[in-house]
Amino acid sequence: MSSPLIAEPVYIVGVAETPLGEVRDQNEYSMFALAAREALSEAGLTLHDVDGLFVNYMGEEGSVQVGEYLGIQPRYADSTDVGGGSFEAFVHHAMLAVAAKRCDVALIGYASRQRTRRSRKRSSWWGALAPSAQFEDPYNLPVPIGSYALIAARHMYQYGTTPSQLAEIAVAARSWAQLNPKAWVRDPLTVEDVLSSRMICDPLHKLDCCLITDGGGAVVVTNRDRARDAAKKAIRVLGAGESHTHWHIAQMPDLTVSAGEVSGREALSMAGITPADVDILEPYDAFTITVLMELEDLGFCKKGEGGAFVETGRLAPGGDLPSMTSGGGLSYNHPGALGVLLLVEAVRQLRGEAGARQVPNARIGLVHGIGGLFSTSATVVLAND
Amino acid sequence: MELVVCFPLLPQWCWPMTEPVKNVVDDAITAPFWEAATRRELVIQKCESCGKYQFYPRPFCLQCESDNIRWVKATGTGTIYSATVVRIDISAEMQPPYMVAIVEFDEGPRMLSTIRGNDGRIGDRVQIDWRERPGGPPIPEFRAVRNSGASES
Repeated sequence: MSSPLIAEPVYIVGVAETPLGEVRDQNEYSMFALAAREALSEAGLTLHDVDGLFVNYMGEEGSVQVGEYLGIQPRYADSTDVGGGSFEAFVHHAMLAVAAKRCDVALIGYASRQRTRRSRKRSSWWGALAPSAQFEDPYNLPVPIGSYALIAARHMYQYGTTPSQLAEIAVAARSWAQLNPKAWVRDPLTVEDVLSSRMICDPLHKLDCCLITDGGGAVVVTNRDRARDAAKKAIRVLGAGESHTHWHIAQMPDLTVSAGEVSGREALSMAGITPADVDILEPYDAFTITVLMELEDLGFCKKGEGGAFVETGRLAPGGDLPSMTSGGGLSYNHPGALGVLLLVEAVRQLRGEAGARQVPNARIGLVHGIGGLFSTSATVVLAND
Repeated sequence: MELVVCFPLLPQWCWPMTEPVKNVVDDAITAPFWEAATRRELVIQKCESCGKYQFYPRPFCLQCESDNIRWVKATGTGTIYSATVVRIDISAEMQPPYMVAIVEFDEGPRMLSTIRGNDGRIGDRVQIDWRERPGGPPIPEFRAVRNSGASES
C-alpha cells in the first residue's frame, strides 16, 4: 500500500508512554525525557539523532524549553497549538517535513501532572484579550464540559440521540480498559451506572467525562532509511489532515458537525482508503459525545446515525470497529492532552504487541485527535505494511 | 487597564496576570455594544454591502469582507439553538442550577447567554432581558416567550 500524495514514505518507529496516573517522583520534563529516550531506543536512535522537535503544553515556546532540557538543537521546530489533538497535527507536520527532508528524525511528545498538581480549571481558560472575556465568561459555562453539553443537547434534539447511546461509548471504553493493566479505572461499568452518575451539565453525566490523570508520551517519526534500523516494526504514516472551526462555542458553525469532517476527508484521501478499510480506531474520547460525532464526521456512519451505530457493541472488544482500545481517555488515562497516547496505542496495536487487548490482524489504524471546545480536529492514518 | 502595561509584542504573556474583563472594556471595536447595553439596548453589526448581520463585533464583514458595516438595533428576539443546565458550582457569581444557552437571533447570528428561570428548551422562542451586574453594564439574558412545558432536565 502506498500513499499516493507523499513521494517519500514516512514511518513511526518508536512510541512510549510517560509514567501514568499520579506521578510524584518525576517532573514534567523528566517524564518527557523518559518517554523520549524509550521511544528513540525502540527506533535504534538517540537524542542526538533528533533534528525535528514537535512539542506543546510544556510551557511557553514548548519546543524551545524541551529542546534545551534534552540537549536538542533542531533544524525543524514546531509548537503548534490546536489543543489535545495537536499530536496528530504534529504527525501531519512531521510527515511533510521528513518527506521534504527538512528533518530526518522527528520527536513528538508531551507530559503533564495535571492531576497531582490539581491544575485543571473549570472556568475561563481564555484570557482577557479574547472576545470571550466580554461575551462568554459572564455566563459561567463550565470549561470545557459546558460546551460539549451544548453539543450533545443539540445532537439529541436534532437526531434523537439518547443518553443511553452515549453511555454505550463509556461502557465500550471501560471494557477495553479491563484488558489493559495500565488503565486507571478497570471496574466493570454498565449503561445504568453511567446514567445514574451525577449530572454535571445536562445531558452529560460524570461518567460521560474523561479522566483527569498525569501522563504523556513520545512518538518518533522518520524516513525509510532510518526506519530500517528500528528494533520494532515500523508503522507507515499513510495520511494525515487537520482543521478547525471556532474558538467560542457560540461561533461553531453547526454544533452537530466538527472539524473532523475536513481533517478526516483530508487524511483518508491522502491515504487512499475509506472508513471500511480501518481495522482499529483511536478516537479522542474527552466525552462520550465526542466519539459519537467523530464516528459520523469521519464517515463510519451517516450524520445523525451515530447513536444507533454505537448501540450494538461494535466499538467494544469483539466488535467490528474496535475503538478506544487502550480504554481511552474515559478509562485508561487522560493527561489533559490525550492525542499523544492515542498514537502510542495505535502503533502498539498495529505492531501486534497490545497483549490481552490485541485486535487480531490489525493492519490499518485511524487516530483522530480533537481540541478546545470541539474546535480542532487532526486525523492520522497508520498502516502495518 | 492592565492591558496597557503589557509588553506589546507578546501580549499573551499577560494573560495569566489579568482577570477576565467583565465591565465596559478598553476595546474600541466592541465599545458600541456595551454603550448600548447601558441603555438596555441590544445592538449588532449589519453589513451595508451584503445585508448580513454579525455578532460578535469585527471591523469588517465576515461574509463579503466589506468594511461598510454599521451598528443596528436588534429585535432582541430569537430561538434557543442549544441549552444546558449547569449543576456544578464554578463561580461565586452564579449558583447552580442555571441554564446556559446558545440563542440564535432572528437576524441570524448566535450568542451565548443565560435563560431566566432555567425555563427554556431547544426550539423555544426567546426575548431579550438584561441582567444587572455590579460595576458594569447589564449583560443580555433571555427568557422564553412561549413556554413549551416542563423545563429541560
